[in-house]
Amino acid sequence: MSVLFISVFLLCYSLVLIIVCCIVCSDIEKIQSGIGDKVALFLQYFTTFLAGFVIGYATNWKLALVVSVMLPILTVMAATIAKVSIVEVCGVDIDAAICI
Amino acid sequence: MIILGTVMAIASGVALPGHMLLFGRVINEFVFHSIARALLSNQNSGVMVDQHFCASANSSRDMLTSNLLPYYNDTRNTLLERVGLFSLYYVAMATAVLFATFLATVFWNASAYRQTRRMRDAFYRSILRQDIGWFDVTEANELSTRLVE
Repeated sequence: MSVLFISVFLLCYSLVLIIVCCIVCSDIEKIQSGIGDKVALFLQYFTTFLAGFVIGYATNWKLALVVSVMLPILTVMAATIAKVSIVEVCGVDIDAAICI
Repeated sequence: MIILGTVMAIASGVALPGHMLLFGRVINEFVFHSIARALLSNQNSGVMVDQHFCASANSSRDMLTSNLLPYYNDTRNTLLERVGLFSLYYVAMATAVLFATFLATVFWNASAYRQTRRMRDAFYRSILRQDIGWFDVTEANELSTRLVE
């Protein structure tokens, strides 16, 4: 059941990505890089995030709750750093296929 | 193929918190070793160590007493054996992550390539079916560039 859900979600994600890429850019190479390796990386990091939460709360929920207070501050900090440094990393061409 | 790639990606994602969990266990082994040495060397100060740990919850006290037993018999070798066991767990986890990441990348890139190839086929087929007038309006070079890139 969950496998079915995951596959449907991934197909929808690929479809949305294809549609968005066809609107924004007309290069098939970018589409290919968007539905290829990056989804696997996204899934990996997302699973690390969720598994970190689960293992932290399952082992020692009081300590995990105390550390979770830092989370909003960390989110704001990460967003600011990403927004400020993306032009430095990717150059002017932010839509480049290589730039994650 | 996408489903297998997803499972592999999830497996390699779980590995990093698993590393942290194993690291905690390894540190626990060192702590047990030092507690056992303190208890065995000087009986008077051993009572103080016990009281400190009795203050915490019951489950951690049971974990302490059940883990200390092998350390009472043979303190140094037990530490070596236990930490060696954990390092073997690390090696197993590392090889699992190696295969999982490799297979996830392979599956996702293969599926993306297949989808792109299907897209290019359809594009080319639709171009061949157009009227002649369409080719007068559109540049041929722009078409081939769009097709390949």
